[in-house]
Amino acid sequence: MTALVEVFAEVHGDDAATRTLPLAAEPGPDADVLVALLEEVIYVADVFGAVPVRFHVVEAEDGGIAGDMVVVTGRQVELVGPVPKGVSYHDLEVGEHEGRWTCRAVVDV
Amino acid sequence: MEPTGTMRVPGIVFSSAALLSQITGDESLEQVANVATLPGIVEASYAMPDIHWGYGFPIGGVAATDVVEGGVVSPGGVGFDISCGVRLLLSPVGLDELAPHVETLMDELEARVPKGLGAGAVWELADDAELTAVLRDGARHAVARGLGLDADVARCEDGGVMAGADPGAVGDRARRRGAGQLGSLGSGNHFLEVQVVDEIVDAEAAGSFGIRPGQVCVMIHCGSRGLGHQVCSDTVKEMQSSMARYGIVVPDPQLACVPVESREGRAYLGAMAAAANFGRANRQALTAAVRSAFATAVGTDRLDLLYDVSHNLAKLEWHDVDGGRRLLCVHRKGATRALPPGHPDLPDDLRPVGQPVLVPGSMGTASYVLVGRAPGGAFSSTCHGAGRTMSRHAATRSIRGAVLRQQLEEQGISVRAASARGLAEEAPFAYKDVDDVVAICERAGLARRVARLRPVGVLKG
Repeated sequence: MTALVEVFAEVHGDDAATRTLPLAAEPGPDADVLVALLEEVIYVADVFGAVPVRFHVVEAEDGGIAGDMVVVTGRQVELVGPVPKGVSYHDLEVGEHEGRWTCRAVVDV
Repeated sequence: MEPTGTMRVPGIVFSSAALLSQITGDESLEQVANVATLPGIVEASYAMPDIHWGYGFPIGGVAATDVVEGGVVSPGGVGFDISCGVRLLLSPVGLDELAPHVETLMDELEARVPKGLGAGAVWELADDAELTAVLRDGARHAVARGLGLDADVARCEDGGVMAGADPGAVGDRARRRGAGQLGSLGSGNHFLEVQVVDEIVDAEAAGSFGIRPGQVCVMIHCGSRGLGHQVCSDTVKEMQSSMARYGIVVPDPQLACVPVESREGRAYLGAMAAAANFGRANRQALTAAVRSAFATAVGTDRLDLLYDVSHNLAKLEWHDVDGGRRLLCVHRKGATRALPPGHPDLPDDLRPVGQPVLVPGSMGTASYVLVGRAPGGAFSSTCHGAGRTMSRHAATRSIRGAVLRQQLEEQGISVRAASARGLAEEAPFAYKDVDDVVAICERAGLARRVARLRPVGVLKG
Protein backbone atom coordinates (compact mmCIF):
# COMPACT_ATOMS: atom_id res chain seq x y z
CA MET A 1 0.00 0.00 0.00
CA THR A 2 2.87 2.35 0.77
CA ALA A 3 4.44 1.50 -2.58
CA LEU A 4 1.16 2.22 -4.36
CA VAL A 5 1.00 5.67 -2.77
CA GLU A 6 4.58 6.39 -3.83
CA VAL A 7 3.56 5.81 -7.46
CA PHE A 8 1.39 8.90 -7.52
CA ALA A 9 1.88 11.12 -4.46
CA GLU A 10 4.46 12.65 -2.17
CA VAL A 11 3.60 14.26 1.12
CA HIS A 12 5.62 17.26 2.21
CA GLY A 13 6.01 18.66 5.71
CA ASP A 14 5.62 17.10 9.10
CA ASP A 15 2.66 19.21 10.13
CA ALA A 16 0.21 18.02 7.49
CA ALA A 17 -3.37 17.84 8.67
CA THR A 18 -4.39 14.26 9.07
CA ARG A 19 -7.45 12.17 9.74
CA THR A 20 -7.83 8.49 10.50
CA LEU A 21 -10.03 6.28 8.37
CA PRO A 22 -10.98 2.65 8.92
CA LEU A 23 -9.34 -0.07 6.88
CA ALA A 24 -10.78 -3.53 6.38
CA ALA A 25 -10.72 -6.57 4.13
CA GLU A 26 -12.91 -9.63 4.24
CA PRO A 27 -11.29 -13.02 4.82
CA GLY A 28 -10.21 -14.79 1.68
CA PRO A 29 -7.22 -15.90 -0.36
CA ASP A 30 -4.17 -13.72 0.16
CA ALA A 31 -4.38 -12.35 -3.38
CA ASP A 32 -7.97 -11.19 -2.87
CA VAL A 33 -7.03 -9.54 0.41
CA LEU A 34 -4.16 -7.76 -1.32
CA VAL A 35 -6.54 -6.43 -3.98
CA ALA A 36 -9.01 -5.28 -1.35
CA LEU A 37 -6.34 -3.36 0.61
CA LEU A 38 -4.90 -1.71 -2.51
CA GLU A 39 -8.43 -0.73 -3.51
CA GLU A 40 -8.77 1.06 -0.16
CA VAL A 41 -5.92 3.38 -1.17
CA ILE A 42 -7.64 4.06 -4.49
CA TYR A 43 -11.00 4.59 -2.78
CA VAL A 44 -9.79 7.27 -0.35
CA ALA A 45 -7.97 9.05 -3.16
CA ASP A 46 -11.14 9.24 -5.23
CA VAL A 47 -13.67 9.93 -2.48
CA PHE A 48 -11.67 12.16 -0.12
CA GLY A 49 -8.81 13.37 -2.32
CA ALA A 50 -6.63 11.89 0.42
CA VAL A 51 -3.37 9.99 0.51
CA PRO A 52 -2.61 7.39 3.21
CA VAL A 53 0.72 7.94 4.98
CA ARG A 54 0.55 5.34 7.76
CA PHE A 55 -1.18 2.00 8.06
CA HIS A 56 -2.14 -0.01 11.10
CA VAL A 57 -3.16 -3.52 10.07
CA VAL A 58 -4.03 -6.56 12.17
CA GLU A 59 -5.69 -9.88 11.49
CA ALA A 60 -9.35 -9.73 12.44
CA GLU A 61 -11.18 -12.41 14.41
CA ASP A 62 -12.86 -13.69 11.24
CA GLY A 63 -9.54 -14.08 9.52
CA GLY A 64 -9.85 -10.90 7.50
CA ILE A 65 -8.00 -7.64 7.97
CA ALA A 66 -8.93 -4.82 10.32
CA GLY A 67 -7.20 -1.58 11.13
CA ASP A 68 -6.97 1.99 10.07
CA MET A 69 -4.93 4.39 8.01
CA VAL A 70 -3.83 7.94 8.60
CA VAL A 71 -4.51 10.07 5.53
CA VAL A 72 -3.45 13.50 4.41
CA THR A 73 -5.21 15.96 2.13
CA GLY A 74 -4.52 19.41 0.81
CA ARG A 75 -1.45 21.39 -0.06
CA GLN A 76 1.00 19.01 1.53
CA VAL A 77 0.19 16.40 -1.09
CA GLU A 78 2.06 16.68 -4.38
CA LEU A 79 0.82 14.66 -7.31
CA VAL A 80 3.85 12.98 -8.87
CA GLY A 81 2.13 10.48 -11.15
CA PRO A 82 -1.25 9.39 -12.49
CA VAL A 83 -3.77 8.50 -9.79
CA PRO A 84 -4.52 4.76 -9.83
CA LYS A 85 -8.05 3.72 -10.61
CA GLY A 86 -8.24 -0.07 -10.26
CA VAL A 87 -6.32 -3.26 -9.46
CA SER A 88 -6.19 -6.04 -12.05
CA TYR A 89 -5.84 -9.76 -11.44
CA HIS A 90 -3.06 -10.06 -14.00
CA ASP A 91 0.10 -11.65 -12.53
CA LEU A 92 -1.31 -11.03 -9.06
CA GLU A 93 0.95 -12.64 -6.51
CA VAL A 94 1.43 -12.72 -2.76
CA GLY A 95 3.91 -15.07 -1.22
CA GLU A 96 6.79 -15.79 1.06
CA HIS A 97 10.19 -16.11 -0.57
CA GLU A 98 13.36 -16.91 1.41
CA GLY A 99 11.88 -15.59 4.64
CA ARG A 100 10.46 -12.40 3.14
CA TRP A 101 6.94 -11.57 2.07
CA THR A 102 6.54 -10.08 -1.39
CA CYS A 103 3.57 -9.13 -3.49
CA ARG A 104 2.98 -7.99 -7.03
CA ALA A 105 -0.04 -6.31 -8.58
CA VAL A 106 -0.73 -4.51 -11.84
CA VAL A 107 -2.60 -1.29 -11.19
CA ASP A 108 -4.65 0.53 -13.78
CA VAL A 109 -4.20 4.25 -14.22
CA MET B 1 -4.47 -17.03 -36.78
CA GLU B 2 -6.22 -20.35 -37.38
CA PRO B 3 -8.11 -21.89 -34.45
CA THR B 4 -5.96 -24.20 -32.34
CA GLY B 5 -6.56 -25.88 -29.02
CA THR B 6 -9.66 -24.42 -27.33
CA MET B 7 -10.08 -21.54 -29.80
CA ARG B 8 -13.63 -21.59 -31.19
CA VAL B 9 -12.99 -19.07 -33.99
CA PRO B 10 -9.90 -17.71 -35.74
CA GLY B 11 -8.04 -14.64 -34.61
CA ILE B 12 -7.89 -11.78 -37.12
CA VAL B 13 -5.56 -8.85 -36.53
CA PHE B 14 -5.65 -5.85 -38.84
CA SER B 15 -2.05 -4.71 -38.96
CA SER B 16 1.15 -4.34 -40.96
CA ALA B 17 4.52 -6.04 -40.65
CA ALA B 18 5.94 -2.89 -39.08
CA LEU B 19 3.20 -2.52 -36.46
CA LEU B 20 3.23 -6.24 -35.68
CA SER B 21 6.95 -6.03 -34.96
CA GLN B 22 6.14 -3.52 -32.22
CA ILE B 23 3.91 -5.91 -30.30
CA THR B 24 5.96 -9.09 -30.41
CA GLY B 25 6.63 -10.05 -26.82
CA ASP B 26 3.79 -8.11 -25.21
CA GLU B 27 1.45 -11.15 -25.30
CA SER B 28 -1.36 -9.24 -27.02
CA LEU B 29 -1.56 -11.82 -29.82
CA GLU B 30 -1.88 -14.53 -27.19
CA GLN B 31 -4.73 -12.50 -25.76
CA VAL B 32 -6.46 -12.49 -29.17
CA ALA B 33 -6.25 -16.29 -29.09
CA ASN B 34 -7.56 -16.44 -25.52
CA VAL B 35 -10.58 -14.31 -26.41
CA ALA B 36 -11.33 -16.77 -29.22
CA THR B 37 -12.07 -19.42 -26.55
CA LEU B 38 -15.04 -17.54 -25.06
CA PRO B 39 -18.37 -19.39 -25.16
CA GLY B 40 -20.64 -18.24 -27.97
CA ILE B 41 -18.03 -16.19 -29.82
CA VAL B 42 -18.79 -15.87 -33.52
CA GLU B 43 -16.87 -15.12 -36.69
CA ALA B 44 -13.49 -14.18 -35.19
CA SER B 45 -11.58 -12.63 -32.32
CA TYR B 46 -10.63 -9.35 -33.95
CA ALA B 47 -7.95 -6.81 -33.14
CA MET B 48 -7.40 -3.37 -34.58
CA PRO B 49 -4.03 -1.97 -35.78
CA ASP B 50 -3.53 -0.19 -32.45
CA ILE B 51 -3.60 -3.51 -30.60
CA HIS B 52 -1.58 -3.80 -27.43
CA TRP B 53 -1.63 -5.75 -24.20
CA GLY B 54 -4.61 -5.32 -21.88
CA TYR B 55 -6.21 -7.09 -18.91
CA GLY B 56 -7.58 -10.32 -20.40
CA PHE B 57 -8.76 -8.84 -23.69
CA PRO B 58 -6.17 -6.99 -25.72
CA ILE B 59 -6.73 -3.28 -26.10
CA GLY B 60 -7.95 -2.87 -29.65
CA GLY B 61 -9.98 -6.05 -29.38
CA VAL B 62 -13.43 -6.73 -30.82
CA ALA B 63 -15.36 -9.89 -29.98
CA ALA B 64 -19.03 -10.72 -30.48
CA THR B 65 -20.96 -13.53 -28.82
CA ASP B 66 -24.29 -15.00 -29.87
CA VAL B 67 -26.77 -14.09 -27.15
CA VAL B 68 -29.30 -16.80 -27.98
CA GLU B 69 -26.65 -19.52 -28.19
CA GLY B 70 -25.39 -18.94 -24.66
CA GLY B 71 -22.87 -16.30 -25.65
CA VAL B 72 -21.13 -14.54 -22.79
CA VAL B 73 -20.51 -11.01 -21.67
CA SER B 74 -17.13 -10.22 -20.12
CA PRO B 75 -16.27 -6.99 -18.27
CA GLY B 76 -12.68 -7.51 -19.46
CA GLY B 77 -13.97 -7.06 -23.01
CA VAL B 78 -15.17 -3.58 -22.08
CA GLY B 79 -12.32 -2.44 -19.90
CA PHE B 80 -11.98 -0.81 -16.52
CA ASP B 81 -12.98 2.58 -17.87
CA ILE B 82 -16.49 1.85 -19.06
CA SER B 83 -17.48 4.06 -21.99
CA CYS B 84 -14.15 5.76 -22.12
CA GLY B 85 -14.65 7.78 -25.26
CA VAL B 86 -14.00 10.87 -27.27
CA ARG B 87 -15.96 13.89 -28.36
CA LEU B 88 -14.91 16.59 -30.82
CA LEU B 89 -16.16 20.17 -30.62
CA LEU B 90 -15.90 22.38 -33.71
CA SER B 91 -15.37 26.11 -33.16
CA PRO B 92 -16.19 28.99 -35.52
CA VAL B 93 -12.65 30.37 -35.29
CA GLY B 94 -9.50 29.62 -37.21
CA LEU B 95 -5.97 29.34 -35.88
CA ASP B 96 -5.06 32.91 -36.92
CA GLU B 97 -7.92 34.25 -34.82
CA LEU B 98 -7.06 31.97 -31.87
CA ALA B 99 -3.29 32.52 -31.91
CA PRO B 100 -3.14 35.67 -29.74
CA HIS B 101 -5.40 33.99 -27.17
CA VAL B 102 -3.95 30.47 -26.92
CA GLU B 103 -2.21 30.92 -23.56
CA THR B 104 -5.21 32.70 -22.08
CA LEU B 105 -7.48 29.93 -23.36
CA MET B 106 -5.24 27.26 -21.85
CA ASP B 107 -5.21 29.14 -18.55
CA GLU B 108 -9.01 29.34 -18.59
CA LEU B 109 -9.31 25.65 -19.43
CA GLU B 110 -6.89 24.72 -16.67
CA ALA B 111 -8.89 26.77 -14.18
CA ARG B 112 -12.22 25.28 -15.25
CA VAL B 113 -11.37 21.62 -15.91
CA PRO B 114 -10.59 19.72 -12.72
CA LYS B 115 -7.83 17.20 -12.97
CA GLY B 116 -5.75 15.33 -10.45
CA LEU B 117 -6.18 14.32 -6.85
CA GLY B 118 -9.00 15.97 -4.92
CA ALA B 119 -9.53 18.51 -7.68
CA GLY B 120 -13.29 18.32 -7.57
CA ALA B 121 -15.56 18.46 -10.57
CA VAL B 122 -17.45 20.85 -12.83
CA TRP B 123 -20.83 19.55 -11.70
CA GLU B 124 -21.66 19.43 -8.01
CA LEU B 125 -24.53 17.00 -7.74
CA ALA B 126 -27.45 18.03 -5.53
CA ASP B 127 -27.81 14.65 -3.90
CA ASP B 128 -27.69 10.90 -4.47
CA ALA B 129 -31.00 11.05 -6.32
CA GLU B 130 -29.39 13.28 -8.92
CA LEU B 131 -26.57 10.79 -9.37
CA THR B 132 -29.25 8.19 -10.03
CA ALA B 133 -30.74 10.49 -12.68
CA VAL B 134 -27.31 10.80 -14.32
CA LEU B 135 -26.86 7.03 -14.36
CA ARG B 136 -30.28 6.66 -15.95
CA ASP B 137 -30.32 9.60 -18.37
CA GLY B 138 -26.67 10.35 -19.14
CA ALA B 139 -25.88 13.39 -21.26
CA ARG B 140 -29.60 14.20 -21.56
CA HIS B 141 -29.77 14.90 -17.84
CA ALA B 142 -26.69 17.09 -18.05
CA VAL B 143 -28.30 19.14 -20.82
CA ALA B 144 -31.56 19.34 -18.86
CA ARG B 145 -29.50 20.84 -16.00
CA GLY B 146 -28.14 23.55 -18.25
CA LEU B 147 -24.81 21.97 -19.16
CA GLY B 148 -25.35 21.93 -22.91
CA LEU B 149 -27.69 22.03 -25.86
CA ASP B 150 -30.28 19.68 -27.31
CA ALA B 151 -28.08 19.61 -30.39
CA ASP B 152 -25.31 18.06 -28.26
CA VAL B 153 -27.51 15.14 -27.31
CA ALA B 154 -28.47 14.54 -30.93
CA ARG B 155 -24.80 14.15 -31.83
CA CYS B 156 -23.99 11.65 -29.05
CA GLU B 157 -23.89 7.93 -29.67
CA ASP B 158 -27.25 6.54 -28.53
CA GLY B 159 -28.65 10.04 -28.23
CA GLY B 160 -26.51 10.54 -25.12
CA VAL B 161 -28.29 7.81 -23.16
CA MET B 162 -27.53 4.11 -23.28
CA ALA B 163 -30.72 2.12 -22.98
CA GLY B 164 -31.07 -0.55 -20.33
CA ALA B 165 -29.21 1.33 -17.61
CA ASP B 166 -29.89 0.00 -14.12
CA PRO B 167 -28.68 2.48 -11.49
CA GLY B 168 -29.60 -0.07 -8.81
CA ALA B 169 -26.95 -2.41 -10.16
CA VAL B 170 -24.20 0.13 -9.43
CA GLY B 171 -22.74 -0.57 -6.00
CA ASP B 172 -22.37 1.94 -3.19
CA ARG B 173 -18.59 2.20 -3.48
CA ALA B 174 -18.86 2.96 -7.18
CA ARG B 175 -21.47 5.65 -6.50
CA ARG B 176 -19.32 7.24 -3.79
CA ARG B 177 -16.27 7.27 -6.08
CA GLY B 178 -18.21 8.88 -8.89
CA ALA B 179 -20.29 11.35 -6.90
CA GLY B 180 -17.57 13.99 -6.79
CA GLN B 181 -16.12 13.39 -10.25
CA LEU B 182 -18.80 14.43 -12.68
CA GLY B 183 -17.05 16.88 -14.95
CA SER B 184 -13.43 15.92 -14.35
CA LEU B 185 -10.67 14.75 -16.65
CA GLY B 186 -8.85 11.98 -14.82
CA SER B 187 -5.25 11.05 -15.53
CA GLY B 188 -3.38 8.40 -17.48
CA ASN B 189 -3.96 8.87 -21.20
CA HIS B 190 -6.97 11.13 -20.74
CA PHE B 191 -6.72 14.66 -22.06
CA LEU B 192 -8.38 17.74 -23.41
CA GLU B 193 -6.73 19.15 -26.52
CA VAL B 194 -7.17 22.34 -28.46
CA GLN B 195 -6.50 21.29 -32.04
CA VAL B 196 -6.45 22.75 -35.53
CA VAL B 197 -7.59 21.03 -38.73
CA ASP B 198 -4.29 20.33 -40.45
CA GLU B 199 -5.41 18.40 -43.52
CA ILE B 200 -8.69 17.57 -45.23
CA VAL B 201 -8.58 14.08 -46.74
CA ASP B 202 -12.22 13.66 -47.74
CA ALA B 203 -13.57 17.08 -48.68
CA GLU B 204 -17.14 15.93 -49.18
CA ALA B 205 -17.41 14.20 -45.80
CA ALA B 206 -15.57 17.04 -44.09
CA GLY B 207 -18.01 19.52 -45.56
CA SER B 208 -20.94 17.45 -44.33
CA PHE B 209 -19.41 17.32 -40.84
CA GLY B 210 -18.72 21.07 -40.78
CA ILE B 211 -14.94 20.66 -40.79
CA ARG B 212 -12.80 23.14 -42.70
CA PRO B 213 -9.03 23.73 -43.03
CA GLY B 214 -7.43 25.70 -40.21
CA GLN B 215 -10.49 25.37 -38.01
CA VAL B 216 -9.95 25.27 -34.26
CA CYS B 217 -11.44 22.24 -32.51
CA VAL B 218 -11.44 20.78 -29.02
CA MET B 219 -11.09 17.05 -28.42
CA ILE B 220 -12.04 15.56 -25.05
CA HIS B 221 -10.92 12.04 -24.13
CA CYS B 222 -12.14 10.61 -20.83
CA GLY B 223 -14.66 8.18 -19.42
CA SER B 224 -16.65 7.11 -16.41
CA ARG B 225 -13.91 7.82 -13.87
CA GLY B 226 -13.87 5.97 -10.56
CA LEU B 227 -17.49 4.89 -10.88
CA GLY B 228 -16.87 2.85 -14.03
CA HIS B 229 -13.66 1.40 -12.67
CA GLN B 230 -15.42 0.23 -9.51
CA VAL B 231 -18.26 -1.35 -11.50
CA CYS B 232 -15.66 -3.32 -13.48
CA SER B 233 -13.72 -4.36 -10.37
CA ASP B 234 -16.88 -5.43 -8.54
CA THR B 235 -18.15 -7.42 -11.51
CA VAL B 236 -14.92 -9.20 -12.40
CA LYS B 237 -14.61 -10.35 -8.80
CA GLU B 238 -18.19 -11.61 -8.71
CA MET B 239 -17.99 -13.33 -12.08
CA GLN B 240 -14.80 -15.16 -11.13
CA SER B 241 -16.86 -17.10 -8.59
CA SER B 242 -20.21 -17.23 -10.41
CA MET B 243 -19.01 -18.42 -13.83
CA ALA B 244 -18.30 -21.90 -12.46
CA ARG B 245 -22.08 -22.33 -12.11
CA TYR B 246 -22.29 -22.07 -15.89
CA GLY B 247 -19.44 -24.48 -16.47
CA ILE B 248 -17.21 -21.73 -17.84
CA VAL B 249 -13.44 -21.94 -17.57
CA VAL B 250 -11.26 -19.16 -18.97
CA PRO B 251 -7.50 -19.06 -19.63
CA ASP B 252 -7.10 -15.68 -17.88
CA PRO B 253 -8.91 -14.46 -14.73
CA GLN B 254 -9.52 -11.09 -16.37
CA LEU B 255 -11.64 -12.90 -19.00
CA ALA B 256 -14.21 -13.79 -16.32
CA CYS B 257 -17.61 -13.98 -18.01
CA VAL B 258 -21.15 -15.28 -17.73
CA PRO B 259 -23.92 -15.83 -20.27
CA VAL B 260 -25.52 -12.60 -21.41
CA GLU B 261 -28.88 -14.23 -20.64
CA SER B 262 -28.09 -14.86 -16.99
CA ARG B 263 -28.88 -12.94 -13.83
CA GLU B 264 -25.25 -11.87 -13.49
CA GLY B 265 -24.96 -11.01 -17.17
CA ARG B 266 -28.04 -8.83 -17.15
CA ALA B 267 -26.89 -7.16 -13.94
CA TYR B 268 -23.51 -6.31 -15.46
CA LEU B 269 -25.04 -4.91 -18.65
CA GLY B 270 -27.38 -2.76 -16.56
CA ALA B 271 -24.52 -1.45 -14.44
CA MET B 272 -22.33 -0.99 -17.51
CA ALA B 273 -24.99 1.07 -19.24
CA ALA B 274 -25.39 3.20 -16.13
CA ALA B 275 -21.63 3.77 -16.01
CA ALA B 276 -21.69 4.58 -19.73
CA ASN B 277 -24.29 7.23 -19.03
CA PHE B 278 -22.04 8.65 -16.33
CA GLY B 279 -19.21 8.85 -18.86
CA ARG B 280 -21.38 10.66 -21.38
CA ALA B 281 -22.59 13.09 -18.73
CA ASN B 282 -18.97 13.60 -17.69
CA ARG B 283 -17.93 14.65 -21.17
CA GLN B 284 -21.03 16.85 -21.45
CA ALA B 285 -20.13 18.65 -18.22
CA LEU B 286 -16.59 19.21 -19.50
CA THR B 287 -18.08 20.61 -22.71
CA ALA B 288 -19.82 23.26 -20.63
CA ALA B 289 -16.47 24.18 -19.10
CA VAL B 290 -14.86 24.38 -22.54
CA ARG B 291 -17.57 26.69 -23.87
CA SER B 292 -17.18 28.92 -20.83
CA ALA B 293 -13.41 29.06 -21.30
CA PHE B 294 -13.80 29.96 -24.98
CA ALA B 295 -16.29 32.69 -24.18
CA THR B 296 -13.82 34.33 -21.79
CA ALA B 297 -10.65 33.86 -23.81
CA VAL B 298 -11.82 33.96 -27.41
CA GLY B 299 -15.14 35.79 -27.26
CA THR B 300 -17.41 32.99 -28.43
CA ASP B 301 -18.95 29.89 -26.87
CA ARG B 302 -20.42 28.60 -30.13
CA LEU B 303 -18.68 25.26 -30.27
CA ASP B 304 -20.71 22.58 -32.03
CA LEU B 305 -20.45 18.92 -31.09
CA LEU B 306 -19.50 16.84 -34.11
CA TYR B 307 -19.91 13.51 -32.31
CA ASP B 308 -19.37 11.70 -29.01
CA VAL B 309 -18.50 8.02 -29.22
CA SER B 310 -17.24 5.33 -26.84
CA HIS B 311 -14.34 2.98 -27.39
CA ASN B 312 -14.87 0.78 -24.32
CA LEU B 313 -18.31 -0.79 -24.41
CA ALA B 314 -20.40 -3.91 -24.97
CA LYS B 315 -23.54 -3.44 -27.03
CA LEU B 316 -26.34 -5.74 -28.07
CA GLU B 317 -26.52 -5.43 -31.85
CA TRP B 318 -28.04 -7.32 -34.78
CA HIS B 319 -25.54 -8.53 -37.36
CA ASP B 320 -25.52 -10.95 -40.27
CA VAL B 321 -23.52 -14.05 -39.38
CA ASP B 322 -23.31 -17.14 -41.61
CA GLY B 323 -26.26 -15.95 -43.66
CA GLY B 324 -28.58 -15.32 -40.74
CA ARG B 325 -29.51 -12.31 -38.64
CA ARG B 326 -28.29 -12.76 -35.06
CA LEU B 327 -28.38 -10.79 -31.83
CA LEU B 328 -24.80 -10.40 -30.70
CA CYS B 329 -23.10 -8.96 -27.64
CA VAL B 330 -20.36 -6.96 -29.34
CA HIS B 331 -17.43 -6.15 -27.05
CA ARG B 332 -15.26 -3.24 -28.19
CA LYS B 333 -12.32 -2.60 -25.89
CA GLY B 334 -10.11 0.13 -27.26
CA ALA B 335 -12.06 -0.08 -30.50
CA THR B 336 -14.68 2.28 -31.89
CA ARG B 337 -18.01 1.59 -33.46
CA ALA B 338 -18.04 2.89 -37.05
CA LEU B 339 -21.53 2.80 -38.53
CA PRO B 340 -21.78 3.03 -42.33
CA PRO B 341 -23.93 5.49 -44.29
CA GLY B 342 -27.61 4.72 -44.09
CA HIS B 343 -27.48 3.06 -40.68
CA PRO B 344 -30.72 3.69 -38.76
CA ASP B 345 -28.87 4.38 -35.50
CA LEU B 346 -27.30 7.52 -36.93
CA PRO B 347 -28.86 10.98 -36.49
CA ASP B 348 -30.80 12.14 -39.54
CA ASP B 349 -28.22 14.71 -40.65
CA LEU B 350 -25.30 12.26 -40.40
CA ARG B 351 -27.04 9.22 -41.85
CA PRO B 352 -26.24 9.98 -45.52
CA VAL B 353 -22.53 10.39 -44.69
CA GLY B 354 -21.80 7.76 -42.07
CA GLN B 355 -20.73 7.91 -38.44
CA PRO B 356 -17.84 10.18 -37.44
CA VAL B 357 -15.08 8.21 -35.71
CA LEU B 358 -12.72 10.17 -33.48
CA VAL B 359 -9.19 8.80 -33.14
CA PRO B 360 -6.84 10.61 -30.78
CA GLY B 361 -3.16 10.08 -31.50
CA SER B 362 -0.45 10.16 -28.89
CA MET B 363 0.23 13.44 -27.11
CA GLY B 364 1.68 16.05 -29.38
CA THR B 365 0.95 14.10 -32.54
CA ALA B 366 -2.01 14.07 -34.90
CA SER B 367 -5.57 13.00 -34.24
CA TYR B 368 -8.04 11.95 -36.90
CA VAL B 369 -11.67 12.18 -37.85
CA LEU B 370 -12.69 9.06 -39.76
CA VAL B 371 -16.08 8.01 -41.12
CA GLY B 372 -17.75 4.62 -41.10
CA ARG B 373 -18.11 2.92 -44.44
CA ALA B 374 -20.00 0.04 -45.98
CA PRO B 375 -19.63 -2.84 -45.64
CA GLY B 376 -17.02 -2.20 -42.95
CA GLY B 377 -15.72 -5.08 -40.91
CA ALA B 378 -15.37 -6.56 -37.44
CA PHE B 379 -19.03 -5.79 -36.73
CA SER B 380 -18.67 -2.17 -37.89
CA SER B 381 -15.63 -1.43 -35.77
CA THR B 382 -12.36 0.38 -36.21
CA CYS B 383 -9.41 1.60 -34.17
CA HIS B 384 -9.53 3.99 -31.21
CA GLY B 385 -6.06 5.55 -30.98
CA ALA B 386 -2.38 5.00 -31.49
CA GLY B 387 -1.79 2.10 -29.09
CA ARG B 388 1.11 1.84 -26.65
CA THR B 389 4.39 0.23 -27.67
CA MET B 390 6.24 0.93 -24.43
CA SER B 391 5.30 0.54 -20.78
CA ARG B 392 4.72 3.61 -18.64
CA HIS B 393 7.74 2.72 -16.56
CA ALA B 394 9.98 2.45 -19.62
CA ALA B 395 8.70 5.79 -20.91
CA THR B 396 9.58 7.59 -17.66
CA ARG B 397 13.06 6.06 -17.77
CA SER B 398 13.50 7.43 -21.30
CA ILE B 399 12.49 11.05 -20.73
CA ARG B 400 11.69 13.47 -17.91
CA GLY B 401 8.40 15.27 -17.89
CA ALA B 402 10.07 18.69 -17.89
CA VAL B 403 12.11 17.83 -20.99
CA LEU B 404 9.07 16.53 -22.81
CA ARG B 405 7.10 19.66 -21.93
CA GLN B 406 9.89 21.78 -23.39
CA GLN B 407 9.97 19.71 -26.58
CA LEU B 408 6.22 20.07 -27.03
CA GLU B 409 6.34 23.80 -26.41
CA GLU B 410 9.12 24.14 -28.98
CA GLN B 411 6.69 22.55 -31.42
CA GLY B 412 4.21 25.29 -30.59
CA ILE B 413 2.07 23.16 -28.26
CA SER B 414 1.06 24.73 -24.96
CA VAL B 415 1.06 22.11 -22.17
CA ARG B 416 -0.77 21.99 -18.85
CA ALA B 417 -0.23 18.75 -16.88
CA ALA B 418 -1.07 17.63 -13.36
CA SER B 419 2.22 15.75 -12.87
CA ALA B 420 5.56 15.53 -14.63
CA ARG B 421 5.63 11.73 -14.44
CA GLY B 422 2.15 11.49 -15.88
CA LEU B 423 3.34 13.64 -18.78
CA ALA B 424 6.45 11.50 -19.39
CA GLU B 425 4.37 8.32 -19.37
CA GLU B 426 2.42 9.73 -22.31
CA ALA B 427 5.48 10.55 -24.43
CA PRO B 428 4.74 10.21 -28.15
CA PHE B 429 7.51 7.63 -28.67
CA ALA B 430 5.66 5.28 -26.29
CA TYR B 431 2.90 4.91 -28.86
CA LYS B 432 2.45 3.63 -32.40
CA ASP B 433 2.29 6.08 -35.30
CA VAL B 434 -1.38 7.05 -35.57
CA ASP B 435 -0.92 7.87 -39.28
CA ASP B 436 0.01 4.21 -39.85
CA VAL B 437 -2.85 2.95 -37.68
CA VAL B 438 -5.57 4.87 -39.51
CA ALA B 439 -4.05 4.11 -42.92
CA ILE B 440 -4.34 0.39 -42.16
CA CYS B 441 -7.95 0.84 -41.02
CA GLU B 442 -8.68 2.54 -44.31
CA ARG B 443 -6.91 -0.10 -46.43
CA ALA B 444 -8.78 -2.81 -44.52
CA GLY B 445 -12.08 -1.13 -45.34
CA LEU B 446 -12.99 -0.48 -41.70
CA ALA B 447 -13.32 3.29 -41.98
CA ARG B 448 -12.22 6.16 -44.18
CA ARG B 449 -10.07 9.18 -43.27
CA VAL B 450 -11.84 12.55 -43.31
CA ALA B 451 -9.47 15.01 -41.64
CA ARG B 452 -6.21 15.16 -39.77
CA LEU B 453 -5.94 17.41 -36.71
CA ARG B 454 -2.86 18.63 -34.87
CA PRO B 455 -2.65 19.95 -31.29
CA VAL B 456 -1.92 23.53 -30.24
CA GLY B 457 -2.73 23.03 -26.54
CA VAL B 458 -2.82 19.97 -24.29
CA LEU B 459 -4.46 19.68 -20.87
CA LYS B 460 -3.57 16.46 -19.06
CA GLY B 461 -4.54 14.98 -15.75
